Amino acid sequence: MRLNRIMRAFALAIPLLAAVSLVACSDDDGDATAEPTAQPAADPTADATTEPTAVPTSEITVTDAWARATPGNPDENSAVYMLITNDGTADDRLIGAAVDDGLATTVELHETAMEDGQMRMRQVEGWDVPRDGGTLELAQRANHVMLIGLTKQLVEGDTVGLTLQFEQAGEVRVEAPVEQGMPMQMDDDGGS
Amino acid sequence: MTQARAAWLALGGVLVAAVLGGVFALVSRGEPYEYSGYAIENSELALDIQLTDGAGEPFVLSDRMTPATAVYFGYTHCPDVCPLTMLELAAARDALPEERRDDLQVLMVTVDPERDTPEVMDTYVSHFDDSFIGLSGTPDGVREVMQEWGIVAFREEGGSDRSYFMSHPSTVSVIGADGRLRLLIPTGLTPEAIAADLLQVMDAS
Repeated sequence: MRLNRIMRAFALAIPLLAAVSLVACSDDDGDATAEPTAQPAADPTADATTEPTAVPTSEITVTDAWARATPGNPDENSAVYMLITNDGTADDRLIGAAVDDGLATTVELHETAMEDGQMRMRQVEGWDVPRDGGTLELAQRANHVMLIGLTKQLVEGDTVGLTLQFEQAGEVRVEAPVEQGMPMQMDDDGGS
Repeated sequence: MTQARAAWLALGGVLVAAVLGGVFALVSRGEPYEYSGYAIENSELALDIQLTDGAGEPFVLSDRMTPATAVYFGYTHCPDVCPLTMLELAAARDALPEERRDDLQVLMVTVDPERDTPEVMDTYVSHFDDSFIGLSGTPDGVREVMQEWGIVAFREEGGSDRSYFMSHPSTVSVIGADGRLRLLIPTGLTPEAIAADLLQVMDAS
C-alpha cells in the first residue's frame, strides 16, 4: 500500500516535470495549480542555462482530493484527503484551509496517530511540501484536513470547495468530490 | 521460611512450564491457523452490562450472542479512523460467505455518550451497514463496560464543550459464541483477512 502510493507519486511527478519544462502553466486537466503571485513569472523562452538567476518558486498541484460522506447526524465532522505535489524550486508548507459557503464551523489540519494502542487525533500547525516534486499525502488514518461542525450532510455526488493556504504558493483552490471512502484492498488499484 | 518460599517458587515455575508446554503441544499439533489480527487466549468478559440500542431499548450482550461479535469502541465525531474502521468491518462482512454473514454481529459502542445518543449512534452505524448495531447508554453504564473490558478512552485536551475529540482503542474486539474475547483486529487489514479471522472465531467457539 505504502509502496504503491510512492509509486503513484512518482508516476504523477514524472509527466508533471515534463510538462513544466514545456510550458509555464497548462491547467486544463481539472487539477488545481497555483502560480505564486509574489514572484515574477518565468520566461518560457528563457534558456535553461540561465538557471542561476531564476528566483525559486513553489508550484503546487493537488490531485486525488476527496471528502468523506457523512451519515446525516446534526453537527457532524468530516475529513478531506488529497495528494499535494510541489514541482517548483522552493520548499513550501501547507498552513491552513477554509471551506466555501460556511459548510463547516471550523477547518483544521489534523493528524491521526496511534500511541500505546490508542487512536488519538491532534491539530497540527502545518506540513512541509518539499520542492522538486516533493509530495504531501493526506490519507486515511493519517494527516487530513478536518471539517468541524458541518452545517449540512455530505452526500456522495456533492463537491466540497476548499481553499488551501500555503506559505509560498498562497491560496490554492481544490474541488473535493464527496465519497463514501474505501478500506484497504488486496489488489490496490489506486482507489482512494 | 526462605526455603519454603523457594520451594513454592520452584513449584510455581514447574506448573507454569507445564501449562506452557501443554499449550505449545496443543498448538503445534496440526497446522494452527494464523490470525491476521491479535489472537487472545480465552479472556472472559462481562457480558451482562446493559447498554441502549438505536431504538432506545435495553441491549444486554449476554442475551444476544452470535457465533462472532465484533465490538468497536469509538465516537461519531471522529472523522477519520472510526468511519474507516466501520468501512473495514462492512467490507469484511461482505467478504464472508453469504450464509455466514448473519453469524456476525457488529456493535459500535460510543465512548462519548454525552453527545452520542442512541438515535445518533443508530444513524451513524446504519450509514455503513444496515445490520450494524450502535450502542449508547448512560455515562455510568458506558464507563462500566469500558472498565470491565479494559477499554481506555479519554477526552483530548483542547476543543470546546461542543467540539472536542476523544482518544479510543485502535482495535476491534471479537467475541466468540461462548462470550470469550478471541481476537483484536487492528485497523489496516484487508476485508478478506478480517473475514478469514472472523470465520475462524465462528468455527472455534
